[in-house]
Amino acid sequence: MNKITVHCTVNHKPVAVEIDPNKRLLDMLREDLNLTSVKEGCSEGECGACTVIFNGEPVTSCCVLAGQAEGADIITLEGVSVDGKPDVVQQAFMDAGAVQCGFCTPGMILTAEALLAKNPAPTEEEVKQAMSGNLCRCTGYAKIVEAVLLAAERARGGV
Amino acid sequence: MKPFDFYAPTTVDEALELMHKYQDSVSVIAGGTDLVLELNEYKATPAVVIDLKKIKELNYIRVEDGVFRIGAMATHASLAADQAVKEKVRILHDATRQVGSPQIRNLGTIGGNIAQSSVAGDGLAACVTLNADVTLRSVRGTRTMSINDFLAGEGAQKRNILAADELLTEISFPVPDTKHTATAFYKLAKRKSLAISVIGGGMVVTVDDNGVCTHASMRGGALGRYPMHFADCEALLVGKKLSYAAMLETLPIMHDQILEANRSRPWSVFYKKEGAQGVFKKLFADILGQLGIEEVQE
Amino acid sequence: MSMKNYAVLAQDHVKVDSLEKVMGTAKFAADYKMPDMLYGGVFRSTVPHAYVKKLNMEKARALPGVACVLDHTAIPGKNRFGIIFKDEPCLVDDKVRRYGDAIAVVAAETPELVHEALGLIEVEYEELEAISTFERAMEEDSPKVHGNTNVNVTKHLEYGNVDEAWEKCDVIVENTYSTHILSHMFIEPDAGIAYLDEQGIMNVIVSTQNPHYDRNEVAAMLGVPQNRVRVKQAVTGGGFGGKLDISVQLHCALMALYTKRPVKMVRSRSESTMVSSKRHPVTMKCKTGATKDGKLVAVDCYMTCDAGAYSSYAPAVIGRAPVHIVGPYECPNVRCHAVFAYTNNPMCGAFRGFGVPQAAVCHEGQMNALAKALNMSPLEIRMINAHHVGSVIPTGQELTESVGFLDTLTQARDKAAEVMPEALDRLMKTEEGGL
Repeated sequence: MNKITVHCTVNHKPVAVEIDPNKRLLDMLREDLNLTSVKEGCSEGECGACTVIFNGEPVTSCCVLAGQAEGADIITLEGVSVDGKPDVVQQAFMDAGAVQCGFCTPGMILTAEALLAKNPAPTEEEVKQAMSGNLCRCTGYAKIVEAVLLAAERARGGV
Repeated sequence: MKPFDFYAPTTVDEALELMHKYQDSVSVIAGGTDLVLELNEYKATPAVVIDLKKIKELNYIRVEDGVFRIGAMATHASLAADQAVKEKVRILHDATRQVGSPQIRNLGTIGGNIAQSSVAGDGLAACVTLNADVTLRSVRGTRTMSINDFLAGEGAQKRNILAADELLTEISFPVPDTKHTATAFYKLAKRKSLAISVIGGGMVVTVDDNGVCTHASMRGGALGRYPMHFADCEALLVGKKLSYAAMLETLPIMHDQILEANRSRPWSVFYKKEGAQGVFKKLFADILGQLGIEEVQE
Repeated sequence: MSMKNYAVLAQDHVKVDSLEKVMGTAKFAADYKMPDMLYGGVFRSTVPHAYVKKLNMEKARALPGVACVLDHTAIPGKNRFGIIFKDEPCLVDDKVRRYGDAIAVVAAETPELVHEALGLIEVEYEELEAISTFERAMEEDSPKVHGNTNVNVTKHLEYGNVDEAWEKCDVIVENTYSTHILSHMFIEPDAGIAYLDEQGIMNVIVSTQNPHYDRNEVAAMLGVPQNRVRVKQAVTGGGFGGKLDISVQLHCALMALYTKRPVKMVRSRSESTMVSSKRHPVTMKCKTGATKDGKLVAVDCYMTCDAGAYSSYAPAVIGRAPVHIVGPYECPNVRCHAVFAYTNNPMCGAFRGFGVPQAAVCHEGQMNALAKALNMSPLEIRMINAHHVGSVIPTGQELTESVGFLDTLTQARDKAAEVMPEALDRLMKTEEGGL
C-alpha cells in the first residue's frame, strides 16, 4: 500500500496530510488533524454525528475516504466559531437548550450552518427536513429545531 | 480496513485503463455510502480502490433531442434539485429526494445505486419502472441496453451484467410527454429519513387523448431480488379507460403475485402484500391527479 | 397556582457544559489520546452457550505490533463483577453464557493490528443447549445458565385481600401483555482509556454513568485497594441506563496493567449494541376487577421476564415493576408475583424507568379494557381512580403531598377541548377505548 498525500482546505486553512489510503475522512480529521469534534456514532452514515461541511454540503465523513478529500474545502465545528467565541448558531443551540449529552451537537450545528448558508430564512418544515439526517437520542428534537430557527432569526437581525 | 492502493482518475478513459489493468481486484467508489462502510467492516477487501468523484464528465443531467441523459455520477441531491427532472419525471424526483438522508443524498449517486443493484435501491426501482437505458463502457468498447436486460440473464447470477472492467456511465430515457404520461414513486419506510425502503413502488402510465391507457409500468422495489414486475396488472390496465376504479382492480392480482413470490419468506408476506397495495393506492391517486383525470380522496 | 420568584425554577438557564459542547472542545472518551497509547479489542464468543474447550492465542501473540493477548488466567483479582449480583466474568473462565461474551483481549499498536490479531485467535467450543425463552428456562430439564436454577430473582407483592375481593367486583377483565427487549442506542458507543500513573495508580477515563461503581469493580478485578484506582467520567454521550454496567473499564485496566502503557478501547456500534444491557422484556398476565361505577377493587398480576445471561439491574427492576402494577390509581387489593429468569439471551439491565414503563403497558391496557367493559370513557375511569393526597399505594405508603395526576388530567382535558376538540371527542367515546 502506497501512502498518499491529501491536499485540502480544512477550517479555512490549507493542509497537506500524508496518510494511508485505507483511512476515512473521519479518521483523518480526528486522528491526523486532531479535530475531535467530529464524532463517530454508527460508522455507517445513519446517525449524522460525523457530519462535516464538504464543499458547502453536509456529508457524513464516515462514508468518505481520506483520499477523496483531495482539493476539497472542509469545515468542522472547530472552524465555525469566531475568535474563539460561539457563532450565531452555536449561541442559539446554547440559548434554546438544544444541547444535552452533546455528542450529536457538532453534526447538528454543521448541518444547520450548511442550511442557513443556502437558506437564511427556512420554515420549520425545511429545518426538520434539512436536519433529518442527524439523530439525537436525548432531546426529542424540538429544541434543536427551535435553535436553528432562532439562529436564522438572529442572523437576519431579529431578536 | 485492509490496505489498498487508491486512485482518483479525472477522465473516464483513465478509469477504464485502471479497471482493465486490475480487473477483479478493483472496487469503484461512485458515492461511497455502501463501499466505504464495506471497506471499514472488512466486508470488501479490494487491492485497489478507484474513486470516480473527480471525473467531471460523468456528472451531468441534460436533455438532448427529447432524451434525458444522466451521468452516473449525478448525486441523488442534484437529481432531486433538478427542475427538469421535477417537472417531467416525478418518479425520479420522488425516488431520489427520499434516499437516505440529506448527507447521504449529497454523496450517493444514481450510477452507484444502479450498479450496486440493491434490493431496496430507490433510484434503481425508479429507473426500472421507466425502463431506462444504461450505457456501459470498458476499454473493450461501449454498449447500451435496457436496464431490465442489465439486471437479467447472466447478470442475475451476480447482481447485474457489469463486467469487472466495465463502468456504468450513463442512464437515459425519452423525456415523458407529461400531457399523456404520468410517473410516480412512493416509498414505504419505517421512518421519514435515513430509512431503507420496506417497499418502494414505481408507476408509469400513458393515456391517449380519450383517456384510454396505452402503456403501464408497475414495479415494486424491495419485494424481491429486483424491483418486482407486475406484468399482469399492467396488462389489465392497457386498453381500458383510466380511472381509480379500474386501477383498484389490479390489486388482487398484485396481492397474489407477492404472495406467490414470497412463499419462501412467510414472515414478510403479510405486511408486504398489504403494504404494497397501500403504496399503489397512493400511486394511483398521484397518477390520476397528474393527468387531471380524477381527484382521489383517501 | 401562583409562581413565586425562585432563583432557579421558572428562570432561563444555559446548561453548564453547553459552551464546550457547542464549541466542539468537550472531551468524550474516544477523544483522549496519550503518548505511547495502545488500542484494545475483545475476542467474543460467536455461540450463546458453550464450554470453551481450547483457546489458542499464540498466533495472535506472535503478530508484530501486538503488545498483549490475555485470557482469564491473567486476571490478578476477582473475575466476577455485576452491579448487584457478581455473576458476570471479565473474561470467560468456565463457560460462555451469551453471544458476544468476552473470551480474550488484545492490545496492539493500531486498530488494524487489533483486528488482525483477533482474527488469529482460535477457539473450540463444546456447545450446550441455548436457553432462549423464559418458559424453557423454567423447565426442570433445562440446562442451567448459572448454578443450579435459572431463577434469577423473584418478588412478591401482597396488599389487602385479593382472593376475597373478586366477589365485590361487578366486572373483571383478564389480559396478557408483553413488552419487548430494547436497546438504549445511546449515540456515543462505549469507550475508555486506562493507564498507570507515576504513583502506580490505575486511572480509567471512561464513558459511564457510574464511575464510583466502576472503581470498585476495577479494584476488585485487579486485586488492589480502592485507593489504587481512579475512575474519571469523560463527557458521556448518552446512557439512559445502558452505561451503568461495566463496558470497557476492566479490559482496558487489565491490559494497561500488563503492558504498562495506556490502552484505549472504542466499541463499534455493533459491538456496543451486542453486549450492552437491554430493557427487560416483561410478560404480564393480569386480572383486574372493578365495581359498576368504575372503582378499582382488585388487581392480580403474574409477571415473568427473560432477563438474559447476567443479572445486572434485574433485582432493582423487579422491585419497581410490581410496585407500579396498578399505576397512578387507587386499588385496595393488589397482588403481583414476579419471576425473572436467566437465559442465554442478551443481558437486560437499567433503562429509563426501571420496569415502570413495562408495568404501565399493563395498567393502562387494563384501564382501557375496564372502560370498555363498563361502557365508560377511558378518561373518566382514570379520573375516578386517580391518586390524590391521602391515597394509599400497594406498598402501604400514604401519599401526603404533591400528587398532581388528577390536576394534570383535568387541565389536559380542558386544553384538549380548546385546541384539539375532535381528538378529545374521539377519546371520550367508549368504543375508541384508548388514550
